[in-house]
Amino acid sequence: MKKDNDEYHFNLFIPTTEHGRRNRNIIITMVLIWFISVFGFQFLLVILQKPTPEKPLLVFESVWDEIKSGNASEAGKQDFIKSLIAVFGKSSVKKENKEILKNAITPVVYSMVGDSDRVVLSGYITTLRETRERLTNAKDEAYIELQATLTGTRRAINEMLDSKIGLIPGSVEATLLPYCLIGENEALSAENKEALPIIMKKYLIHNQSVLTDTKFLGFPFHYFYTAELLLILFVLLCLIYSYRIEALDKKYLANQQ
Amino acid sequence: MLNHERKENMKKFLLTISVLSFPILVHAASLTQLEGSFKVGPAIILIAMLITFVAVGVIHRAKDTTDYYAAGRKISVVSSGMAIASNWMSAASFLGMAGMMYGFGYNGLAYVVGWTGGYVLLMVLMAGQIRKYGKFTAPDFIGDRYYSQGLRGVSAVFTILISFAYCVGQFGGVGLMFKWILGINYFWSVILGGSVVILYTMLSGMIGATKNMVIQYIIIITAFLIPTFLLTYKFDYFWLLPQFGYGTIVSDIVRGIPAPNLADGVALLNAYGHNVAMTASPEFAMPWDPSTGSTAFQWYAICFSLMVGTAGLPHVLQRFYVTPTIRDARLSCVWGLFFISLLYWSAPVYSAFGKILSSSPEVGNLASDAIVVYTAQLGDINPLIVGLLAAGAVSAAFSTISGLLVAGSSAFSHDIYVKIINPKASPKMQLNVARTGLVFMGVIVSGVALMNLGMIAQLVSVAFSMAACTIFPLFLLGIWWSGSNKAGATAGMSVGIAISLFSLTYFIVEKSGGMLPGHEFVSYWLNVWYFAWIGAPLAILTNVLVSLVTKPTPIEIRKFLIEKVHN
Repeated sequence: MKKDNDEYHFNLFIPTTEHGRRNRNIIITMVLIWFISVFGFQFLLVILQKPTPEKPLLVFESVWDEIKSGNASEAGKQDFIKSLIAVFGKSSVKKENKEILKNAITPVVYSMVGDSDRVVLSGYITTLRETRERLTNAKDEAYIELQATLTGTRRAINEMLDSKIGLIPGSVEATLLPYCLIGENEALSAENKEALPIIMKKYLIHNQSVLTDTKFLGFPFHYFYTAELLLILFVLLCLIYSYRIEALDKKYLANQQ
Repeated sequence: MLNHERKENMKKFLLTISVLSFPILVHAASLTQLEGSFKVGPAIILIAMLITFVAVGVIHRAKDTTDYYAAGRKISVVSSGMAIASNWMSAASFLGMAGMMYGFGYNGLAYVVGWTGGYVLLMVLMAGQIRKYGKFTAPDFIGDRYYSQGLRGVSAVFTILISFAYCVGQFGGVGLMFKWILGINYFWSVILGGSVVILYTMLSGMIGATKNMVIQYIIIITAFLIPTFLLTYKFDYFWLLPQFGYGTIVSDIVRGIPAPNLADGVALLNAYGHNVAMTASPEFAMPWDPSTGSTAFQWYAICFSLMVGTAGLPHVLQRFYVTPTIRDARLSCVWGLFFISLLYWSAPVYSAFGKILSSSPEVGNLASDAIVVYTAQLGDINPLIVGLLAAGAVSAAFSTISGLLVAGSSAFSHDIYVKIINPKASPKMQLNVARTGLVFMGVIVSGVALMNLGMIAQLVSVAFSMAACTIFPLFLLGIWWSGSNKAGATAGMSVGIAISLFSLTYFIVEKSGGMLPGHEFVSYWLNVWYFAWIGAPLAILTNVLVSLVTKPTPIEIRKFLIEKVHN
């Protein structure tokens, strides 16, 4: 702060009194701690991160060529279906991507059942789809009836397919399977063949590092730091600043009113 | 004496309402469904909550203008902190934040950090100094500090625009909750919700109800916290402190939750003690996961824009003008941040449980912005408590909207109409202008909310970016550098406005189905949700550069800054 006869200047960075200097130091320290704790940590996450694939992606990549060429063994088909279901089950998957996944799973599943079963399976899938559509607007007893139909149809599909695909009855994958199928048994288009590996990578590769893999109070550490610790730090910074600046103002007899 | 009788009558009235409505509420508890039906219980709770707010406001109404402005000067710093938190908690905090984390995982945390970290800036750079400066509104400060009626007018216009943008998201939240409670479609929900909130604001104003923010905060935070305890208790997580106990839930989502074992075809309880299962979903917690389509840059940009915007929002800054002392201004900020954090520590609990409970394909697609309420419903929480939660969301939105509508219409009538257009306007004329402005603003906001332009938190973030580019630089430099002058402020604000309008234009054209040149570039680097990451620094830089080469700030302003603001 500079106060000449007729000149008054104030600049946070160029204080001219001891009070101003100490005030500046507190403010800069607080802002620096704030900035580094927020953005420094996120920057560290970027530096340390390594694209890490989930296991189903490795499985998918090991059988994809065989599936594409139509030479896959039964075990290969099973692995292929399971890896796609692992993606299908994620709630973040976009609708258009789900359609491609369904379009990829269905012909492989159909190739694993006998001719007579295919007609029955197609019927079940149609019933399942129609029931789900009707459920949207159903109420009370009609809703309960449709739910029962849905559960029955789903069980019938699972009974027919679980053992063929090597799924454990009642498992997450088995529960999801009926919803992964479409009535029409069309081969995967060239366009979808190109899109499928991209979709699999998109949903099965994650930015992981020691900060994301370490657990703290049950949280992945980076999540705990951002969602919990930073907020605590903000409250503490405000509290510390409040008391420090008050002490400083008192010391230099600043106007408190 | 008369005042005492009025209070007693009001208390009897409130007690009668609560006693009479209890049997209806108990009956209504059994009627709640996920969607598409009228929910009696939540509707009654909502109406009761709104009546309570108005009634409490009437009991504590301000006797005169001085009492109205000085109301904040009579309460403790803890109460003042609750008022700050109540003022802050809106549909974006109550509904939007959990929705962002549900939809975008770790990237949603940028909103949590942005909306709390901004208070550190507010505290360190603004709170005490704003109190010392002694003005009552942001346009007043800007007009006075930069000795410019023009800047006062422009900042008043931007105060209205910021309030407008902030309101759009809130109306979206009200629409979603009315849709859930009444079982009608989104269009009619927004129309009905919008009409009710305009009516509520006008009614409160006409009968002189003061917003009792302390009571509002307590009711809203209680409605938000109760289900988090119940959900963690019910699903065997650490329920004594769900804000920390949900860590295991996050790790469970990352790992996946195995299905229950079968015994003779019947599902038993699985390893987590309940009948839910989901595939491994690391994308929920991993930073800037490719599946969310978000990048690290976007995390930084959103977080920065929200932080700086927080320290530039006129209705937030306004809270610090009315504290008794500078010390109280600072301590109120600390308490305010703590009370806000209570909600922000809890919001991820809803998104995490929502992720698990909605993982079954039978649940279908849920609106992310309503995930707070859906989670409580899917978790089979007592319908009355779910109703209380929904009513809390509507109340949070109503409280914010009414404040913003009043702030926007006051900025029009006080800062533009009276100070610039018609200084001789009678008080009656001023009131009419303010009321017309309020209704007009409410109707336009409802219209924009109907377009469903984005998620609640995203829509609200537009207001933050605008505040960060226009208001924040003027306050920051106005307080901390006496060299910042009228020319610099005008130039800086022009840059901030230009960047805001540029980004908004691209957004509006895109939403109208068009495409401007460089669309990809602008929608990534200058996205409407976070353009302040570059807009705010550029506005500050311009202000500094232009101030350095133009006529210095008048001596009386500099003298005031040194003697009154910085002692």
